[in-house]
Amino acid sequence: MSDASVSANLESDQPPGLSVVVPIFNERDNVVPLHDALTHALQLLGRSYEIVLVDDGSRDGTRDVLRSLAAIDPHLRLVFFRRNYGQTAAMAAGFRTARGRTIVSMDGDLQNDPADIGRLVEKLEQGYDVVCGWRRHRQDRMATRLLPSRIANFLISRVTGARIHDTGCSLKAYRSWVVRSLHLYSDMHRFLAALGAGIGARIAELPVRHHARRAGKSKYGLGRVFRVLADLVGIKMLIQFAAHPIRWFSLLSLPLFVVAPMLFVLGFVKGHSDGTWEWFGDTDMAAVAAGAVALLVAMNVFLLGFLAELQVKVSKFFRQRISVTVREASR
Amino acid sequence: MTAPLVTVVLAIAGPDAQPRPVVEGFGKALLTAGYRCEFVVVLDGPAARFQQEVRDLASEWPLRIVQLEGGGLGESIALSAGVAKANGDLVVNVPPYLQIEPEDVLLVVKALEAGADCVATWRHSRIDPLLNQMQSLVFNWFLRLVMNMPFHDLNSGTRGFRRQVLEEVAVYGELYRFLPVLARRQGFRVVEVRVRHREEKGRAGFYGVGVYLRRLLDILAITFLTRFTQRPLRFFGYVGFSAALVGTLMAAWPLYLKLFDNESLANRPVFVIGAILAAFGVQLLGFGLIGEIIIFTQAPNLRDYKVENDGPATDEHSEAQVVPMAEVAPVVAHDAQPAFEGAAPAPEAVVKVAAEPAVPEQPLRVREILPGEDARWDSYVSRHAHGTFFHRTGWSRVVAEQFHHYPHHLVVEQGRRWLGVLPLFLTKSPFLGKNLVSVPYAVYGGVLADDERAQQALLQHAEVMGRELGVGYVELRHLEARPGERPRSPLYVTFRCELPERAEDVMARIPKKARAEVRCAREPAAPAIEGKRRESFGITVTPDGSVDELFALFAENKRRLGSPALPRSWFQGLVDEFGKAAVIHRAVLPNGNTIAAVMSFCFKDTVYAYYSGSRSDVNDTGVNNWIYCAIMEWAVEQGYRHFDFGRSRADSGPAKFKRNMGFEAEPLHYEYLLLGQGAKLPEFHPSNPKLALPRRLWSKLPMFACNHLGARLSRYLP
Repeated sequence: MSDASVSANLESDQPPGLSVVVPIFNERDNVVPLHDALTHALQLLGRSYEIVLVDDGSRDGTRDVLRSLAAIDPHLRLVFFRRNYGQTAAMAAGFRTARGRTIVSMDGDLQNDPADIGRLVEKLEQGYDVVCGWRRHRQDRMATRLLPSRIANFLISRVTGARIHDTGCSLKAYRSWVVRSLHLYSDMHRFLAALGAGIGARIAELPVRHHARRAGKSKYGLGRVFRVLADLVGIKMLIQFAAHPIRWFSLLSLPLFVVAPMLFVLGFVKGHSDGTWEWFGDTDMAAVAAGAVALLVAMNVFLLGFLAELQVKVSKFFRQRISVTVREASR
Repeated sequence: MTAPLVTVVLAIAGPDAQPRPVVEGFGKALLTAGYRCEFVVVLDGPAARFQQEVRDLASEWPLRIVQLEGGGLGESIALSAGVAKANGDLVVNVPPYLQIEPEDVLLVVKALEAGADCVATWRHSRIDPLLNQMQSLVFNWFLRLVMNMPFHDLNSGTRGFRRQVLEEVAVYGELYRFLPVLARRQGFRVVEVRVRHREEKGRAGFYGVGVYLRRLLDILAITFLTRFTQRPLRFFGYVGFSAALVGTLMAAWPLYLKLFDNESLANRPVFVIGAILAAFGVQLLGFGLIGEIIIFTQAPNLRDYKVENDGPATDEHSEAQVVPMAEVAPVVAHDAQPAFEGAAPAPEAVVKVAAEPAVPEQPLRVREILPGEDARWDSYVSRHAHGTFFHRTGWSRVVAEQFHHYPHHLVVEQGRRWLGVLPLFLTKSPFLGKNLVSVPYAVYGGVLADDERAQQALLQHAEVMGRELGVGYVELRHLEARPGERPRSPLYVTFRCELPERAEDVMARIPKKARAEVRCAREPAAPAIEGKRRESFGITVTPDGSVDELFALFAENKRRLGSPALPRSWFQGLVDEFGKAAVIHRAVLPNGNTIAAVMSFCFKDTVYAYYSGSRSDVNDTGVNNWIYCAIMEWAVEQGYRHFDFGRSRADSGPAKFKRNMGFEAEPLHYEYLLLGQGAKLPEFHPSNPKLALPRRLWSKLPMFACNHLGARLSRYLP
């Protein structure tokens, strides 16, 4: 450990150039190796850094190990969750705590290689805002896990327009304004890059190393497919229409607006077998009723869009976001 | 450590409370079991009747009184107010009479101590009227059905929880009885314990209709709140999309008939139902979307996690923690073993080593390398005097990637200091059986350790691991001798030399005969002059060969010798992994034909000439001597101090060639730990006479077959 950089970091309260955010959950045995590997890799970079470890409510003594590490390493900053809130919350908290202009996120289970951080940051500095890791040679050989994730990644990259092979890889580097302007909830960390693309970030991808999981299980399954699909629709909407949701709702109600008059016509027009037509001859009430329902619902959905628009206006979310973006960009 | 403080909260609202037996019963039970306890009595409304009694109790017990203004505020508010005054982390909420046997409160507290955040109780051998029991049964059954919750008795008034549960789970109105459900939904650990029922106050028989209706609505509200607020679009989108799809399909057929066969829709109810379903689906989608937008835009305010406010460690903390960590270390190793895919080495081996020193010292701990420690491993290897190129993790990565041998790299550490490493691969082969090899496809490998103790720990661990994996032997390809006696294979020798200071001196080192060969290859092309000089060829050697050139020559050479060649992807993998540290030199005739190529590796101050190939028809040009001479000159220019010519079998052609180049043969210390039944040193090597026939056959195979089969076979010839 180079003492010079340590004391420099302590004395001047200058924010570090690079923050590495790692969510950790029940990784007692991995924490020390992780810290060593990170320290080793980051010191090779020769720039000021901090490591933000977010303990996601571990119960196996990870905390004590973390505390004892923090006592000897001033680069380390800890966030403790009271209980397990999940990876996205941990990432969000880590991003909130991180002070660097460049922020790197990675997994706490050592599947990512800290040695790749340097390359990601280098790539970022070539003029990108988000650089995603791509586990090109995945170490999970199970087809049952590879295939769903392949499909999911394909769909995500298609729909969101962020051409990324591997959205599931946690190893990513961001400029800080990207994570500051995006607020994560639920499983959103998967879509960070896509959301970033939505707010105009330049995205790049870099193959990274990936190690086989040594312990524990990961959660992939068919049930995820539906969730990913639903999320996709949501993401698509958020990227494209979040500023003006009424457009999206118009799009949703449009088919009903088209169908409703057609049903009315169908109900009021009676065709004869000899090919002649007759208006109001013998009204088909079922079609008229269906048309009425369609019209009603179309109206309803359209007005929901109006509500959504109001919600967006009231929340000042986009004004805030733009100001953050401008400020960071001009710094 | 002091005993944990348990806070018992009871709210007194009705006239039939009995605070004294409650306080005394629970107080005695908790104190006898060694807990500290305090009571918080919440008086909901003007309970003048109990004020004197409670005040008397307060003089005998640690008891706080909370008087709520107004009154009739309900259990939820009373509970929140009571918990706000609690000092302890563990809170037990009880009704104001002895509902359960007081001793059973210990079950609740114990469950909390064991790590539960919230404890629900299940009254058994109930004593209230059968009718009430039936109602309760139906209520809980319905709840389990709707919400998929494993609770049997939510109406039980006794609950235990940690303070933070109430700080995070908002309860209002009558929702307090759903506290375990809500807590569980939010990710808290909730358990149910069975307690003995003692007394029940409250109505017997049926309640009013309104009560049942309220309960039902409560259940619905809870279901909704807990389920759909996280990601509204997930649920609404899913249901909405399904409804729209089903509805459209239902309406499609009648519509088709109407359009083309002019059949009336009026007598087809399926059309109307379908149309309504479809419209309903679209509307649900819309609701999902608006929900999602609200969540998204409000996410900055929604921070749905709580951070513990004990940030970085204070000094006293760290002191307290550093010491236990050292003690914990061996236990950690113990726990971690089963996770390592059956390769669980018995910890006795480690413990034995650790037990030797008389002074209390941190024990040695052997474990497998964890992902992410590659950089640390590499820096250890480059610091260690015996560390070679093949010890590097890069080599291991390429081996694992290309040949799918499974690595079991071992590290021995004391505290956090690494004392040694041992790269090991589990190789399986029909020819050689199952073995641990350090390192496959390399000429050097084996243990790197700071001292003999660390080496011993590593080897013992490897031995235990080997036995558990059922391997035949552990092969340690040591270059230098290591302390200790182990079976050794005398088969191979290696050739190394120190490089001279200047590139010009390289030629001078080479014996006369070989030097003549080098000259005839290097000097500008000229025909032979009878009696005066040999023909010279003007071959140039440059460090810019490609993988393709090397592989073509290498594969051809190998076939000639009758052994399978490594696949092309192996060489490509090495180049990709090591970049500039893997150099390919090629020898080119003046006419532009490449006739020989050598792949060398650079590590520390050594250049390892490792893979080579040359055309069979150019032996008389002296190109083989020249290319190695040129590599040495290149190495000197680049500032390397040592040249490694690689291993050969002691009495083979290549060994002779290397001797002719002026190299001394050094014996290699390939050592074996023989583990399996009747295991012996491997005999499957090219100079084994039993293999002469297959080798001859191999050399007759067509080139493409050779390459294809070779690529497959080389996996089994580590």
